[in-house]
Amino acid sequence: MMAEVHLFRAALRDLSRPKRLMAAGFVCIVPPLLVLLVRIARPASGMAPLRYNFATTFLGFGFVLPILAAVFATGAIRDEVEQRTIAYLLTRPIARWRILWPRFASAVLAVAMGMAICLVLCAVSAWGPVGVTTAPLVRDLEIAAVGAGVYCAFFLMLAAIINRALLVGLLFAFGWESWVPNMPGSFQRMSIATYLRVLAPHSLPEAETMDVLRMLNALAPQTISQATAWTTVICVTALALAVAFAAFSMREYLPQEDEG
Amino acid sequence: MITLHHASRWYGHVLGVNDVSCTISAGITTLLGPNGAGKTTLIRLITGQLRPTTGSVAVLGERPFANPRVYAKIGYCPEGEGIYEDLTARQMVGLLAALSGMSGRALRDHVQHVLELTGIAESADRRIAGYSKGMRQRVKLAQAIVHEPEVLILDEPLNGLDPVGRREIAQLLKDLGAAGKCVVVSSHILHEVEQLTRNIVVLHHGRLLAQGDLYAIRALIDAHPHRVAITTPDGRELARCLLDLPGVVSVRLDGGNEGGVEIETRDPEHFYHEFPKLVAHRRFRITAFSSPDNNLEAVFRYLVEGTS
Repeated sequence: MMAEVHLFRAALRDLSRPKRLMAAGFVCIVPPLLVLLVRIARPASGMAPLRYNFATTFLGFGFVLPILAAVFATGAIRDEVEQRTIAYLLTRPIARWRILWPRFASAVLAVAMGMAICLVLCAVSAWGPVGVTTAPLVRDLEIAAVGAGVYCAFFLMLAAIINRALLVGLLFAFGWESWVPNMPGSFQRMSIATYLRVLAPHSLPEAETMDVLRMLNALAPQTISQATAWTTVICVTALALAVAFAAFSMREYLPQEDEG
Repeated sequence: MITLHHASRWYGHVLGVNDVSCTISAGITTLLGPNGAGKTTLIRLITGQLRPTTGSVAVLGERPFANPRVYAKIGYCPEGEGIYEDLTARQMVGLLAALSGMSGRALRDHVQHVLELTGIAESADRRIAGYSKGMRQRVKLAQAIVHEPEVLILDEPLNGLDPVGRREIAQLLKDLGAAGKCVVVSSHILHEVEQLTRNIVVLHHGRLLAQGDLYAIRALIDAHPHRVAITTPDGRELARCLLDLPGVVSVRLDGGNEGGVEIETRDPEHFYHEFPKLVAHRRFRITAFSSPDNNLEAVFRYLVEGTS
């Protein structure tokens, strides 16, 4: 267990580099800043829940969470390969999955903390200081931690099986996770964000005009129960971690330019 | 301790090592070869970072790839700049010692011991980012020996060290070899390697060219007769006598104040046996005597040239 503690500390130290912290801080501050701008532009107090719900659904859970998870979770392997330090770890008498899980845990912690800062600031930006007690923060923070776990597991799996995991991860976060939850029919079930929205629902006003997607959704409404959402999130996390650990245990990790 | 049996490794269409079979025992063994010869690939096969495409690799009787039982007995010092720059030397060696199963006081004591052994104890609490190349090399060596492995694999461990540092590390490696550890050193600094050991493995274009004792390998290279250089004021007379010795294929006289004679012989053993008798009998005055191609550099050159 001491080995894991050492690895966890080293991984946290790695994640808390000033450059990385600044970049993560910038990403986390975008939603609350936008909420603040909207509040300044339309200061009506009745709009506060809408401002908070919009920011957390689309920017917090839809943007900050997958972006942070993609960067931190893929970094768990990428950093070691790029810094050419992975050989030190892989030639130690410890099963490879035991090297990976403390790094996964540190990534989850970092993402969850980033999300916590983002959500608290969103609440304060939407309501003012009372937002801390008014907004459904406890539930959102819990689901943010769950989301950090499932996304980090997914991106860790990508990093374990492909070389350009960060690029693919960002494409997934920006593309797939942005579009698929809004797709009609059961296709939206292919997105992690869909299940997180079920676990942390935020009511949003109906649009005055209906676009094609909304029409299709109205024709075939998809309802996912909380139980299904929990089961799916837990299964995806477990499966992604299992694949990540297995791939990391089997794969050869070498910088190609070192061959000779 | 290390056995490779027809081991080959390909990177797609690029050949890393090709059909290498050899056994490496306790003591120091040097892995020699020009850039791209396959030294690093061979080391990565031995340290279980790569699987052989064909053939097999065994360390202490087990396959090394992702095998913690083998890693408990292997210490590995990689080539190149990769190091945990944000950690101090003590933290880095401590982290890797913890991954080797150490903890508590034993870990702290072992870490302190190897930091002292490698000469970085005084700077051990500074971040590695501020270290010179030589100090980094010492940290890499310290982490390789912290868990007292039976097999030590060192990829270019003398790179970046100043002359004093090289001597200190070479002495440390000699001590480890003398203590019965299997120490495999990859290097291209031939004259320093020669002072470490006579036991060599020569690779070229991924193939094993030769393995064994340096002088035994030299004796087997028939294409190049052994050269012996002798400095004497009696050059002409000595040259005439040497021509009569069996195995001597050429004699060359050099000018200069101190006359020089250089001979080539295909039977060095006989030559070294007969030469002192000849000198004593004819009372030649010999002021210098050397064998310019009975060294690692010459052997390496002959072997590599022979395959080019």
